Amino acid sequence: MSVFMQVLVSSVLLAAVYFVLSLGLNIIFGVLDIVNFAHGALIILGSYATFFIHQATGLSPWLLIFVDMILVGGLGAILYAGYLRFTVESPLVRMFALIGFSRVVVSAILAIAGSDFRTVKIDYGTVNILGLPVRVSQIIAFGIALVLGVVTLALLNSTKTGKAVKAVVDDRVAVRLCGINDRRLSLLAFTVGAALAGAAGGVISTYVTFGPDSGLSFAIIAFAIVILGGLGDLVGGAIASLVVALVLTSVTVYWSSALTNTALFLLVLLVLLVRPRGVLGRGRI
Amino acid sequence: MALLSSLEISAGYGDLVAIKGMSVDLEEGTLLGVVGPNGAGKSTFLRALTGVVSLSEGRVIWKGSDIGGLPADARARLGIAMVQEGRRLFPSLSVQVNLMLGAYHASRSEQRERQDEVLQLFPALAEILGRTARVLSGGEQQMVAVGRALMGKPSCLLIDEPSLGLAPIIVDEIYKALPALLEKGVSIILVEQEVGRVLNIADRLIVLHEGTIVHEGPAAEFRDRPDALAEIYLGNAPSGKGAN
Amino acid sequence: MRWRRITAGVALVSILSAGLVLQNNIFWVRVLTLALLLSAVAQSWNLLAGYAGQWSLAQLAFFGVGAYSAGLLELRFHIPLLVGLVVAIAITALFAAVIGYVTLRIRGHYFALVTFLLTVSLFELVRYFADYTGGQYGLSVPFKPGTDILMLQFDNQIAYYYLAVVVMLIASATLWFVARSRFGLLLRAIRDDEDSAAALGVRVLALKIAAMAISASMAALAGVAYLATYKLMDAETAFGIHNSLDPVVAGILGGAGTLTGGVAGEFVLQPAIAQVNVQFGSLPGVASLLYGVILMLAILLIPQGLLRLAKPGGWRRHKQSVSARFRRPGSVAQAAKEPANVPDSSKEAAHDTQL
Repeated sequence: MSVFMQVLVSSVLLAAVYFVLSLGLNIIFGVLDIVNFAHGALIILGSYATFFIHQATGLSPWLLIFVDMILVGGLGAILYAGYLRFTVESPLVRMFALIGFSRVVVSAILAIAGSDFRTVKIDYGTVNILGLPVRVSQIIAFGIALVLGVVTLALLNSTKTGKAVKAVVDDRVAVRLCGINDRRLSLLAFTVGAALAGAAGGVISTYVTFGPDSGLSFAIIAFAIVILGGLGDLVGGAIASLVVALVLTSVTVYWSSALTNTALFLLVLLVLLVRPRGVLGRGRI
Repeated sequence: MALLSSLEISAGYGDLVAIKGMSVDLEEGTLLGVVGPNGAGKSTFLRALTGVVSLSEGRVIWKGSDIGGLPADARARLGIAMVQEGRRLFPSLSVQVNLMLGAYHASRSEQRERQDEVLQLFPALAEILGRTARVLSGGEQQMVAVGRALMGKPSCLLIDEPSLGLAPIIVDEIYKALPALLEKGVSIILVEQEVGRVLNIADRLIVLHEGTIVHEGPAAEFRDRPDALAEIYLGNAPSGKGAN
Repeated sequence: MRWRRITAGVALVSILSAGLVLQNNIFWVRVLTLALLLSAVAQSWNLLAGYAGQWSLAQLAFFGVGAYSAGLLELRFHIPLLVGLVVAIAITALFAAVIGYVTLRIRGHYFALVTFLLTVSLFELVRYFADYTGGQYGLSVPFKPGTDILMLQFDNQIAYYYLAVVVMLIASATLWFVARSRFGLLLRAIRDDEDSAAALGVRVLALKIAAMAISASMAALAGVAYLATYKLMDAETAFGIHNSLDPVVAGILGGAGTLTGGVAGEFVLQPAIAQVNVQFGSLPGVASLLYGVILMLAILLIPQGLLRLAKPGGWRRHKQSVSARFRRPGSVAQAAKEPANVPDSSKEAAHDTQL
């Protein structure tokens, strides 16, 4: 029972981080209907940014999360406004444009920062939760991720712009007919999506060791969450985050950490077979 | 000078040409009815006017200027609002938010004012303001759709098949609102399957068939002679085929 | 039309003679052999994407599944490669059909995402079951001197080049037959408008699965040929995410939905990659960065592919559409289909899978 409790605690702590990991992807998917294959690259950019700025200035990595959001969000805005919107308006084509961009970013990181693995070392000690030793930094990460997630959802639900963004997810043409400039909302969505990816990267940098290619593993988790939660359904994504965290933690503890991607793939197959629109049934097919 | 005109416009989907060479004038303060069999291009016509579908030929003139180059949202901001076929509300949002988005650029107080006006027109909406659009009945959705279009204080309203899939009693409610709108100075283009309803209320009528105008004239002409309209409809319809 | 046949003829003759002409230039023989084998994979992608509208990132994975199957059959059960080839293709086709049954119900780019996850998962599995597959060192098939056709073993190295040519021709012929057949017509109908096709009684899922199985078979064929040629197949080659892009990029570059797009694309891509590696291979990340930049530019400027550009009038159409995209990005009203009564925003305003 105690092992199970530890898995549970671990999963809950991870779930918040996973949620933020998936949020940016889901927003972009919902608003722009494209699979952001550059998601992993944007995440790892955030991690590297936190690492290097922390190393150079000693600023708290938690503070640097906001810097990550600005930097990566800004890059996302430039990518969208300066390149992506000029490509053919096809989700498939844009997916490949983003794959190309991802390559460029990861290669640049490799060329500049080298292939060494990094991590942001911070140590505030360990606490004992239900028998599981938990690093305080993990709890802080959990808290920050939770806040990020809640604030994003709140902004989407209560601001005029947020509601317009949700409307675009529902029906872009109808938004246009209301006299609302949906293209600007697309830019906003992509920027926010990128910023959240950067933030997630910043949070994760304190959790794990990462290299230029690590963005992929995080992106895969995000993809699985988005599919399980329903494409474009953010609340579904929150639930899915917990499920995926549970699945991954269980697989790692009870089976092998070398098969996490396979576990996620099988989970995805199951979802497609049984509930293709996601847990709450509100996702796009 | 007409408020809104199309000059020899053609539009379609990919290789399919849905409307061809349509020239139509909408005079200010009038209601123009557009009728025709399924697939005649009625919806495409409205969508070409609002910019949802791009023109392959011709021009759209609004108050004397060519708006063909403007994207749909810019045209909407000029005061041209459309109620789409099938309502097309935002299913995940509440009735109130749906309405609010129709007046996105207006101030909070303006939005409240306009919402009150819409509620005057459709009192039944007052009770369901908080409900999510997805769960509304067809009639309620239609009212919200028209209401949302009106929130933008349009000078021109394009309505696409409001009676589609709705019970007659409900449709009556919608149609009751139209004369009031005309009185307020809103010009209307109404696309309808139910010819009878349009005849009662239109000033002018256009009959479309397979993408072109086969007849046009004052509605009064047809009110007195229902057979004439039937003749035009049937005379032009080939054996059951539409341009779907 | 004649122009096209002439070009195709010239290209074919060049490919056939290149093996003999370049005999002594091992480097280029290798590059072209790889290009030929990968062409088959790219063509398999082309079949699924260009004709059935499903963009798969798992084609190279099927290539790998075919190779690993045949390899394991030879190593464990001593089944000669030529025989194992047939079995391997069957296994891969079946595997693809099962995967397809679950995944072909979803839209194009979503499907691409899931095929990506499949590739990643297979990478993991092959590494995990290292006892069977050789893990990170890969699966190697023994090299035997002399010629043994049953084992797909040739004394003269050039024979492998021609083996690759045969593979490429079989793949292209398959594509050609499918495109010309009623099956191909139905696939295109599904690609253009799945709902209407379904409404007309077309068995959409079954046909898509068939297309996927055929496409996987083409890739598997190339995979076994690759194994025979290089005597080695490893996880990175078959299931690495960087490599898995290759057939897709080639297919897009050549032109998705054209008859020889995969071949044209690979014949541009592989030599280019080889050259870039020669120039910049020593600098970490530079080659890959260049690849990414070129991909981004190609997507922006020639999304319809080189072959369509080469068609008469292609350049003019190309300039028109590119300038249209730059002048009014995003506000170009889409060739939207008439909406059904149920709001389905996913269909309108942002969907144009016609390259």
